[in-house]
Amino acid sequence: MAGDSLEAMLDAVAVGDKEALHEIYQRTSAKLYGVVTQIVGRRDWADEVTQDVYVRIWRQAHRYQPGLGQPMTWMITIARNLAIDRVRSEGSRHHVDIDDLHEVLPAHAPDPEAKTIGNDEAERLSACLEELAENYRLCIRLAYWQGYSHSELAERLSTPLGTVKTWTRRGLQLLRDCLDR
Amino acid sequence: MSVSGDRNTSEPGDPADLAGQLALGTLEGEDRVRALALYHEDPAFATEVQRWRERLVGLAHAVPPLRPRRDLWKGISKRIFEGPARRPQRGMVLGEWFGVSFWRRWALTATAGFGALALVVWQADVVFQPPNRLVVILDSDEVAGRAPWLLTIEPEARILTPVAFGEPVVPPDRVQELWVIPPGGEPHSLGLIEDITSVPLPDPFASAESLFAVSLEPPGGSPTGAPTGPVVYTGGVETLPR
Repeated sequence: MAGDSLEAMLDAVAVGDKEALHEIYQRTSAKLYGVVTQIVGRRDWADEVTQDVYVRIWRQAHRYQPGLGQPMTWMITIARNLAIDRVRSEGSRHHVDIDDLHEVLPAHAPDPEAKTIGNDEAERLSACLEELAENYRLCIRLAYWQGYSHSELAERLSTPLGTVKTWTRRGLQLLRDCLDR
Repeated sequence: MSVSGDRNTSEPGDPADLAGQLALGTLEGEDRVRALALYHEDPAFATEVQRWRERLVGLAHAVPPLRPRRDLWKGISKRIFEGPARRPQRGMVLGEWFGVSFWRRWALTATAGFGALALVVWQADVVFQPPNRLVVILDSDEVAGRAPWLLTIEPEARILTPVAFGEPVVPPDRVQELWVIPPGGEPHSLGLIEDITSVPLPDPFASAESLFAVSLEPPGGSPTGAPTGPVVYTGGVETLPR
């Protein structure tokens, strides 16, 4: 099974193949655990959320549609959603000072050991984010990592709602233009 | 940076912008509902949202991988492969089963937990099997785990009771109508979900294979007797052991 694609493994999981889930876990848990930890900021919550993520993958594998994107993106989306839900339900975000954002919300941190999945995406996105004005970039990072809605962004950045909406929209447009270039 | 006022609080945004914001997660209120409705109804929009997820996923890929502790897999494996959680987790006592925090937590973490493996598929002609507690989590793909409604079903009396535990987002001029779809049948309205205290589920709706859905409708509910607006939440019957 080691040579199989994640997509093939998800197909197998969809029909109840336990080995395939274990294989997916072995290949992806460091990545997903890293993402979850980044969002929840506590190892104990990260442990619980990561378990929930794989239970959900097990349960929802049949819903994964190859035509709609990469398996890794699908799994990361699940991990991000569940992690954000967890911090929301605990009512405590992993609050960071804006000044610390670069540390907490890495700009370029293609990790040294995993030269595999996602490195290109990380580098391209990082380069494009660098091209954005700081406030655009901040909105995108905060929303992605903290799950902030427009009004939460407005509050967090002490900026009028309409302005924050414009920053987010414009930031995304510029990001798309850069990435699709 | 020139920011010329609040341009888009009410004006419908460009669908491409909406897709990006839905993927990023910043939408709220009516904008979010509109985007979710589009996501369900319009394959091109859903594809665009997915394209945005692929664009943004580089953020996640930039995070250093972190090896989870060794026994994490054991916990997952136990939850998945050792059948439904026969013991309530963390010494939960029966009285807590319907506590708000339980439901909230349950829906928020894994809709799985108990329900996951306990998803019961009976023959279509088999109705609810009494000793179990039956629930339907009305969830949406887009907001995984953020189910705003839960339906509980008393299997013997076949009475359904909606429990609100999230914050459904509904535009001011729309209402949420609850539908039951029996196996192989047409949607049947159970009423406006916010108005229902509890409602009987006659045959053939009292089937373990029935599906439930919430659609957004004009005030007073669907004028046609069938769903006319976007379906925002769906769920199937799951069982919790008593």
